Amino acid sequence: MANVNLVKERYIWRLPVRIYHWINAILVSILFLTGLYFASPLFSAPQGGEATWYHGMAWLRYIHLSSAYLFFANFIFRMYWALFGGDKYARFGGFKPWKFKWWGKPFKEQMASYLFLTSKEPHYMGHNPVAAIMYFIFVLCGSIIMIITGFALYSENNPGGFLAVLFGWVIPLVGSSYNLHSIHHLTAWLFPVFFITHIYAVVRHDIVDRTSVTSSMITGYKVELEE
Amino acid sequence: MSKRIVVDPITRIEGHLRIEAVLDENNVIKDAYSSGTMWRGLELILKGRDPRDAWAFTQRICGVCTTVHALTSVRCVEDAIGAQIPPNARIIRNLIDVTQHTQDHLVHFYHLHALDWVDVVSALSADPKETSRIAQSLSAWPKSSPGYFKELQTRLTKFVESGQLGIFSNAYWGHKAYKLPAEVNLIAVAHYLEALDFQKEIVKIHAVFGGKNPHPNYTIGGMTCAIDPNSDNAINIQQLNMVKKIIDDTATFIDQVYIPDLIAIAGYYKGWLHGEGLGNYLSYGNFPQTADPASGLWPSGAILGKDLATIHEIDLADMGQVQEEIARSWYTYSKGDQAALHPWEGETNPKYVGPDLPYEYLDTDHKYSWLKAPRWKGNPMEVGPLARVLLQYAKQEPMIVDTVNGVLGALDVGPEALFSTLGRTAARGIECKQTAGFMSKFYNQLIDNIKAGDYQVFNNDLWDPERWPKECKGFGYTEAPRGALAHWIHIKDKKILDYQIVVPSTWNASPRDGKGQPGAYEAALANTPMEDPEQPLEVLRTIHSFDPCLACASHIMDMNGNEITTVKIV
Amino acid sequence: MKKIETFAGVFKARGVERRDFLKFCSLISVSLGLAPALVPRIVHAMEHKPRIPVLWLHGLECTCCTESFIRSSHPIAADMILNMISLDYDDTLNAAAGHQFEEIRKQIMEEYKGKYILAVEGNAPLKDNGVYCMVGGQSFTSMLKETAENAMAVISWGSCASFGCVQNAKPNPTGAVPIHKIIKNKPIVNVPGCPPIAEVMTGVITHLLTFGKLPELDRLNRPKAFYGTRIHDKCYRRPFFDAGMFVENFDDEGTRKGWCLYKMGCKGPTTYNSCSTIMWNEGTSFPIKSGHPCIGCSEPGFWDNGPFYTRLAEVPFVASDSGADKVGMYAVGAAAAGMAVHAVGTAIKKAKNDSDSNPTQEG
Repeated sequence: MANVNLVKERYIWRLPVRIYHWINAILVSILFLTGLYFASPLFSAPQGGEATWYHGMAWLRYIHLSSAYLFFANFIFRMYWALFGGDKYARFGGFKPWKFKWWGKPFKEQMASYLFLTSKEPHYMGHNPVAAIMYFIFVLCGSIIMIITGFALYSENNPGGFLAVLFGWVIPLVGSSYNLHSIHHLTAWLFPVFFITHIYAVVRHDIVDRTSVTSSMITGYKVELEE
Repeated sequence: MSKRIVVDPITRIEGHLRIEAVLDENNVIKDAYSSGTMWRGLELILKGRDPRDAWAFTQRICGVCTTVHALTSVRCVEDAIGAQIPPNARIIRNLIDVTQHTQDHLVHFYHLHALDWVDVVSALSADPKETSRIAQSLSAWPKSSPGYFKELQTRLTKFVESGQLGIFSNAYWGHKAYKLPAEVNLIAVAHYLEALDFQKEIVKIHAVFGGKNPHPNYTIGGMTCAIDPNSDNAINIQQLNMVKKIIDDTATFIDQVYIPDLIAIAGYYKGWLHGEGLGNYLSYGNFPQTADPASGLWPSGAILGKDLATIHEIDLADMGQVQEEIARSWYTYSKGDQAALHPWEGETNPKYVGPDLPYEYLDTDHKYSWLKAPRWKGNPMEVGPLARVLLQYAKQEPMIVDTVNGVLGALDVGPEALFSTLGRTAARGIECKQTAGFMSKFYNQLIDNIKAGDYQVFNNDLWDPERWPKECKGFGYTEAPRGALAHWIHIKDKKILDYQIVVPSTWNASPRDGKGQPGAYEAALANTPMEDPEQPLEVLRTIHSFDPCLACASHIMDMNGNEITTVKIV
Repeated sequence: MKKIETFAGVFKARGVERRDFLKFCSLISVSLGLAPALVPRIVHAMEHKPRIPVLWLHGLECTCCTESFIRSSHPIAADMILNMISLDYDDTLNAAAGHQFEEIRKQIMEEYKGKYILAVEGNAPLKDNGVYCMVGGQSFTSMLKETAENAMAVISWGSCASFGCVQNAKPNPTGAVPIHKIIKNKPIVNVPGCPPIAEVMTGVITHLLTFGKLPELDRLNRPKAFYGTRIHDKCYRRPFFDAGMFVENFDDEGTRKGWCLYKMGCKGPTTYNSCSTIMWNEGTSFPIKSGHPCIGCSEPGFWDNGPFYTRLAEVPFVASDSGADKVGMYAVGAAAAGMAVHAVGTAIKKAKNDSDSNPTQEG
């Protein structure tokens, strides 16, 4: 085993990022589970009595919708932090996937490492390029799709209302209300896929790099190692 | 010198039909050609779908005879998977079906057919008092006062004088072939409008049990309209009362308006007995009284060459009986165009080889229609009310024998008059009287069951496709208002592998077959003299007497054939 | 003397102010792309011309729209076609046939340039030069274009004309397309439904006659008056939905108690129509009331959102029997499996690295 020394702890994930991360994790879980239940309700209300005594689906809907608003606010907050926060590890900064150069050496090296094509394990204090593209697809794009389709769905309750004016165009764009539901539902599955990949990658890096990446999202500190 | 006339589009029908006729020097039709000019390709659309959805797709074949395809489709799928439906579901389906027959016949007589016999403009010169007298001599229908006819005539006059005749524009008013006195014309126009208003009442029965009309809902395994006399959210006595009232009103309307009008009008045309046609008749039977589909109140059978003494048995599963030919249709068969294929082995490879659009005439010496040519043991057959009435007449069904004899007696003509355009129209009226009676019968059956505590309308046993056989075939049939209708299905891995239909109007409107035998329309038009070839009223009469439904006829749903896969890839 | 009933007369009889009538005339001139200077001439024409002629074409269709139309209870169909409009051309009701029938259409197109309504039932097949629907020896597509040329406005009856409906379902063998894909330069009102509710159909026309303008349309060109909200949002069974009381099969207790049909695949939550308010056949019932889930027949592409008795449609391009949840679960499963394989790979690599960099440790 290679000899490594702990050099120093470095403060990577500042408080706003950590807060965003955990709020997001909780809300996404709530949204995903309530959403799934919504699409195929497992249980029926107790038989007997009047429908107005029970509000199971209505409550669920309330939870889903209020969580969605919080999710949106949290997302906006993170976007603010990414754009104007001045946080080296949290801003978009060098993330420019539309430029050919971005897909160059660092990305290829990291990819090669993940695919076991090289024994080298590149080290990054923030996100590595492969992780960045994953976050871009699953978290950023996923969230944006969910927010837009979600608001469009919510706007259907009140045609002509504020949200319908802002998001009503989505329905003709995707063809029909049904398609909109389907897209929202299908996109939701990005999150559990991401969840598994994310947890795995974090744990793996912890073991392979020993950078305490797992606890870093709580404490904010990563350790820097030297061979 | 022969000349060729074209009537396209034929109006007051469902769908797109074109008739070309060759006339001799005396303006008698020598040869007629019937062409369906529309094709929608639903057979390709149905493949790979959930068989439980098939009823909805096939229902959209036709919105006029809405419901009959849905009914046949659920019977077909249930036959394939082996599902049984509760007796209430069978009764409700029969009730919906018979309601359809009654309403459809009424609409056909007044709105699709009457104007071939009734001169609307002539009604303007009628004497309201005399009209009232005639009307009251015909029946006890209360809307028959001189004031009523006077008011109608005034409205009609105002309408005509507006110069905008709307649906009555540019028609054949004053044509020599119109024979009714002005007063009878006025009665007919009054009843045209009354029937237009009343027909919408009859189908409310569909709304009660199927949620809406046109296109009420069905489902595999029964019906979804829960019955519970002690629930405020299911069919209870209030809705049953509504059904009962509609049934009573319908019987009154048929007895006091439709039948008397039919006899009155026919009385003036009994000299016009053209349009005999093939003399071959086919009916599958309908309105099963038990779980056995063959237990229908309407019998099945075939009549050949007008021989009522011999009823031939039919078997839809027999590969040699019902077959479709395409020798003169815009399709190809992999076994060659002369082949005759039973639906189980049928193919649908559309290939238009007609003239470039726009065209003046079709090439009737070769292929000229989107309709196939169905044949029974090689014979072209006529289907519809006349076939059913003749079959019941031959089998001595008392109600039919009495009514037919009554109508023939009132018109002072012999039974041979049935084999004509007018006979077809009369048979429809006679049958409508019978179906109005069935409505009441089925309603009472339903009430008896509910009284006995049986509320079940749905059987959930085979709802889940997991419980179906891996692969199965089935067929379902009914008698639609326009005649014999059957669907065939092949299910594999819970999906539709193949689906096919042979439709009443495909029988009747079929083009010639490989042997050159004409279809029912074509045969019926032959030898009809025309007063004025420019105004093809006689053609319309005979064609309308069949009540064409071309969207049905030309949906063409058929089995497999490699071509389908090819089309799919494209 | 003949008393000719005019547009202006009809409007006046229905209590429309002259101001609104003038507005209507300018709307027409705008829709026809005419210069404002021509408005007075249109006003004159409308004041002296009779009831609005309606040309009702039938393409690839099943005539359920016409059938529904004549089921209207207020106004009744007879009143509609005799007193309110001049239904000059309709395959299903016209007395004339063949060339006499076609002459009517040509005459109206000529005499009432820009002043007739084109109502279309069904749609047009574009494949193979339109041979899948021919009328009078002409393709329906060319007939449609020709008739639309001088129409004031187009009404697309039913889901066929509005969105494509059954013949447009996959794989669309005839290349059928809705009317708005063919007619681009006219105001088009989509009145979807298979068929539309009778009173909605007559309502669209009487709205025009009564208020002197086309009804306000939503983003899919449907009149807001009838397609404003979803069936689910005004369904009388909605309390059962909110309560989570569902029909689980068509033979259970919930069916007889009229519980929510959501779990039976009801498309009410994604379907814009008036079924749950106006209802069908003079308010007799509607599908959900008769215990059947809504199949969403007024929605674009509803045939391909099947199977009808499930909530989630099959996801296109993946496989048959593939609802969103199934696809999602497979994706999650694949991700988990991928990660597991990767973990094994990592372990092997790590073991190899360790032994490479520290070969003596083992021995």
